Amino acid sequence: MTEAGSAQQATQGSGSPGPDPRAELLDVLIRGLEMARRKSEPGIPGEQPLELFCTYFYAETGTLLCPFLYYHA
Amino acid sequence: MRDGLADLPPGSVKEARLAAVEEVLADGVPFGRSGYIAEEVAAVYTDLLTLVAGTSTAAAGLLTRLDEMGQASRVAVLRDSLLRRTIEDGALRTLKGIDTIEPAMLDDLLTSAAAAAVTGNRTLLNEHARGACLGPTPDFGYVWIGDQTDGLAGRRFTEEILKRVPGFRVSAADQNQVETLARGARLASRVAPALASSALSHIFMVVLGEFEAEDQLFNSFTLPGLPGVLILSPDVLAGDSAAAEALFHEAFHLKFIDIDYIRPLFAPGFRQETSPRITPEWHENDPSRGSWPVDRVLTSMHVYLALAVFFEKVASTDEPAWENAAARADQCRTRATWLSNTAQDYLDHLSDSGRHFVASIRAMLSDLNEAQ
Repeated sequence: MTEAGSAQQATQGSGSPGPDPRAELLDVLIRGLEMARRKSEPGIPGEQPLELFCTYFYAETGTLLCPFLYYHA
Repeated sequence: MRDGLADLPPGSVKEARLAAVEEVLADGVPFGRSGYIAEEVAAVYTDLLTLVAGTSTAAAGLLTRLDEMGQASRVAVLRDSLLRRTIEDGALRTLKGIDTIEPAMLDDLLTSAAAAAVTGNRTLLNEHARGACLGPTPDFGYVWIGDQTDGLAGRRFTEEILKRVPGFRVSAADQNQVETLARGARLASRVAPALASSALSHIFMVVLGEFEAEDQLFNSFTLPGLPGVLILSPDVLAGDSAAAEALFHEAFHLKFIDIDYIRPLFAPGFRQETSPRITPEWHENDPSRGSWPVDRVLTSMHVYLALAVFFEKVASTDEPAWENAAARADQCRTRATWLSNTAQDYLDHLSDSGRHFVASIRAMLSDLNEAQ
């Protein structure tokens, strides 16, 4: 199964009655995998690696307050 | 205003509010206390490993080894970023048939983890307890010096990084870099002992490196799917304060990532690529830095709040390592407030835990803002 297909399946539940206690955690795991897939296949539209939880903050404050820390990703 | 604060002079009220916020951020349950989160994370991975053990004798062997260990060692072993990634890959293969790890590789890695799990100081990625420690104990994790393992785990670890960050070159830290990082960790701990300790405990491995393309400059980042790993540019190590700030900042992203494992924060089916996009007001003139998905809004709100407290502490202790600490504290608090207000428009994309998380941040920000 591809990761994209499995990601959809993960959100649809297992088909058994009642909530799947692992569904939320599975979602977390799948999101981590999707990140890997998207980052490892050039040409697929998506976020650049540096957009992930990275420190644009430094670039901003570097501009304002601390020039030697200025890096533009 | 909190009970008991009304009679205090203004300066003391501010100090008391700051201390109260720091305590919740560092030690509140379930979103702050690192020891609690680590134990819950270990429980999550033990459950996942139990699933994998149905089809893997190596997983069963590791479970047996973990059962023989004390709780603290078990938690330390299950903090290992590569072991977490490997168990996740095994669980996703078992549950969903996702093919991200070959069964032989899964077994080899889990067998290695079981062999290394003699004490909490020896883990899959730090098999011989030779990794450079970021702090006086392994609590703050390690710095990647490239010889932590006999090869298999190290190769797999760097491959997992490169899967997520193509075109990146991992480098082994030299002694000077390790010492700068260790001084940075000590500096952060001196400024905000409880908060820094709570944050840095989420680091398992600090990895230095840079992109092959010279124009892809960065300072630091974390990788969802590779928990506990903090990537730093060697350029950040120009000074102790920069190292301290980078460690503290990214460690809070790692705390957020860990929280998401134990209290999933987002609604079922939430994905970055289909998330609504938000451009913070301070990026309105530079759209290339805007368009944040909801998860980034939440993690940034969390980090900005932590930095607001951190820089308030810097300012109040006259720590000379940072200039303009009070102004930076104000900026971070203002931004955290903007993000927390904005998050109110996207609560449908969060789980109950996610809404609880946002509410807890808003309560802390309210305290901080009232103290100004």
